[in-house]
Amino acid sequence: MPDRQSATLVNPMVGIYFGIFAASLAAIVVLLLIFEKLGFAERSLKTTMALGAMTLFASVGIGAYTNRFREYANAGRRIPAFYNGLTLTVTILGGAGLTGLSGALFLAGFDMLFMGLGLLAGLTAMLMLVAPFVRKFGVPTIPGYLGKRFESTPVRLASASLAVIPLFIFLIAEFKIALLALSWLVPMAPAFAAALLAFVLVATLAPGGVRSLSWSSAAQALAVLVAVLLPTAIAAVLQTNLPFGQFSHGPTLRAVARDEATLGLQIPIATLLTFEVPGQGLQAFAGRYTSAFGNVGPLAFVLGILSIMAGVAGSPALLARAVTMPTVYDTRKSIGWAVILVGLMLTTFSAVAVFERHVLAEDLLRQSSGGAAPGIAALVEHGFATIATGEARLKPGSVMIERDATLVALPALFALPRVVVSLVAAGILAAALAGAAASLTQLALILGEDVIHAPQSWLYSDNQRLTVCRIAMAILAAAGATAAISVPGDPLMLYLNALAFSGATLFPVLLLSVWWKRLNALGTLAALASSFVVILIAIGTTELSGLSLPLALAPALAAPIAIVVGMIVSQLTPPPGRHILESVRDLRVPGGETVYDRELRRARQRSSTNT
Amino acid sequence: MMERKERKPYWRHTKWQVLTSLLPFLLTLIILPLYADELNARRFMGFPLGYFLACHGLVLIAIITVFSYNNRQDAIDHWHGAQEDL
Repeated sequence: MPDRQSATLVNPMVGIYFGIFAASLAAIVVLLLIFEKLGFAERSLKTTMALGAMTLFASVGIGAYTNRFREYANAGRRIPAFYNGLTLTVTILGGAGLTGLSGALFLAGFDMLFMGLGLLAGLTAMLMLVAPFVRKFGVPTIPGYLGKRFESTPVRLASASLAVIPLFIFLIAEFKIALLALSWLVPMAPAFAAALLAFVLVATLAPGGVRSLSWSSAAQALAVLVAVLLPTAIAAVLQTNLPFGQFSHGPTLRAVARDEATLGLQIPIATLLTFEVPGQGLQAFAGRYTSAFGNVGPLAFVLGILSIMAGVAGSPALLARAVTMPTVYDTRKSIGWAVILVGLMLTTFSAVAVFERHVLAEDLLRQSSGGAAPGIAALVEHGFATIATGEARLKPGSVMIERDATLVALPALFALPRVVVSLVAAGILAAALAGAAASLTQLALILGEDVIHAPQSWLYSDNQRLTVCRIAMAILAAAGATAAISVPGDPLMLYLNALAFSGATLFPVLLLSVWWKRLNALGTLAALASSFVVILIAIGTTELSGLSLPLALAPALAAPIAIVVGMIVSQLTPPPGRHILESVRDLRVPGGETVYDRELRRARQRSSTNT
Repeated sequence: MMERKERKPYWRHTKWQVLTSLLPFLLTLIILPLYADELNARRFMGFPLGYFLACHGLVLIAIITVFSYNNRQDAIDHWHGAQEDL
C-alpha cells in the first residue's frame, strides 16, 4: 500500500527509540545467557529477566508523559499504522489469549481453531464495518461515540455501563495470567505480586494515558513476538531443519498422527452444539490433533467464530485504538498489519502444538518400550506437568500438562537454556500487561469523560480531567488486582466471556449506528437492553429452548435479536433530527475534520461568544 | 473535499465494496472448516489438507481480503474525492 503524507505527522525518531528498546531487550537476554553459562543462580537470572522487562516497559510509558488532555486521550492521533498494528495484536490476544489459545490448541487440536479464526474474522469485520467510522467521528471512548452519535445522555450512560463489564472482566483475566507468568519468574505471595503488577501498570500508564499505552504496548508486542517466534524457530530447526516452523511442520504433523494412532488416542464425536474448551490447570491431551469436531460441535464451531468476531469488532478497548491514528486510511492499514501478525501467531501456535505433541508422543512410545522420556521429565522438573505415580508404563492420560504453560514449555521440552524459558515467561507477562493496560486506560477514560465530566467535559481544565483519569486508573488497577486474586475463574473463559459481552451488547448498536441512519436513541437503548437480557438468560440458565447456550456463544443469538429490536423500536418512534443525520453522513466520509473536533470547536465558539 | 452530490454514490460504492469483500470471506470461513475431516484424506506440504486450509489457508485468505479491501476502498475514496486532505 502506498505511503501517505500522514507519515510526516509522526515523530521521525520513533524508529530510533524502538531500535534502542529492542537493543536493550536483546542485551538483557544475551547477558543473562552468558551469566547462565558462567553458573549464576537461576533465581537471580529469572528475577533480572522479570524486573528488567517490567522496567523497560514502564520506562517507555513514563517517557510518553503528557499534561495535555488531547494527547492523553488519543495520543495526539499520531501513532503510525505499523505500531498500532503491533498494539492491536498484543491487545486482541492479551496474556489470556496467548496462553489460552496456544494451550487449547495443543490439548484439543483442530476444534480450538475457532478462536483464532474468530479473531481474524473480528479484525476483518472491525476494519470494514466499524473502525474507520469511529476514527472519523473522533471521540476517544466508545460510550462517548454512541452518546454523541445519538446526542443522548441515556445512551451514553447505558453504553458506558455495558462497556465497563467486558473491560473489567478482561482486566481480571489479564491480571490472572500476569500473576501466573510472574510466579514462573519470581515466586512471591499472590497479594504482593498483584500489588506489584498494579503498581507497574499505573506507573506505565498514568503519566501519558493512551499515549503511554500506545508506545508501551508496541514495545510489549515486540517482546511478545521475540518470545514466541524465537523458541519456535529453534524448535523448528531441530525438528524440520527449517526455521519457519509455521509452514514446515506438515511432515511432523504426519508423524504425530502416526504416533497418536499407535498410542490409541480416541476420536471423540461431538453433538452439534457441544462446546468443551480445555479448562485451566493440568490436563491430559486426549483426542487426535487434526480430527475435527470432537470437543466442539460443528454448529458451536461456527457460532464460536461469529461470536468472537462480534466481540472483537465491538470491543471498546480495540476500537479505541482507531482514534489514535492520523487518518482513516492509516486506521485501515493498521488493522491490515494486525491481521498479518495475528495470522502469524495463529500459525505459530499450531507449530508449537505439533512440535510439543511430537516430542511427548515419541517420549511415551519410547518409555513404553523401556526407554527414557527426557521431554516429559523436563516438563515435570520445570513444574509444567505432572505424571501419575505408581504406573510402570506411562499412557497419554497419565501425563497431565498445564494448559497455560504450553508456550513456556516449548523451550523446556527442547532442552534450550533456562534463560529462553524465562524469556517466554517474560513475553507472556508482557502480553498480559498490555491487555490489562488497554482495558485499564479505557475504563479510566470512560469513568472520567463519559460519567464524571460528561456531557461538557471540555469546560473542565486539562489538569482536572487528567487528575480524575489518573485517580480512576489507580483505583481500578487496585480493584482489578484484588479481584484477580479473590475471584475464581479460568482466564481463557473470562477472555471469551468478555468478548461475548461486547459482541452481544455493543457490536449491534455500533454496526447500526454507521450502517442504518434511521436508528434513534430509543432504538439503541432497546437494542442494548434486549441483548443484555439475552446475556443474562445465558448466564442464569444454560438451557434455552432445550438447547444449551454457553455464554461464549451468546452473541450469535443476542446480536441478531438486538439488531431486530433496535430497528423495530426505531421505526415505531420519531426519526432522528437533521443534525444527527448530518453527522451520520459526515462520519461515513473519510475526508474533512472529525465530527468530534468540529462539535468541540463550535461549542467553544458559542461559549466564548456568550461570555 | 467531497462535493455534497457525491455522498450518495460514494456510500453506495462503499456498501458494495464491503459486501463483496466481507461476504465471500465469511462464507469461506464458515463453510471450509466444516469439510475439514473429508479434506484431511488429502495432503499438501505434508499437512492434512483440511487442517492446512482451516489454519493456514484461512489466514492467507484473511490477509488477501483485508489488503485488497484497503486498496479498493482507497481507490473509491479517491474516485469520489472523499480522501483526507493533509
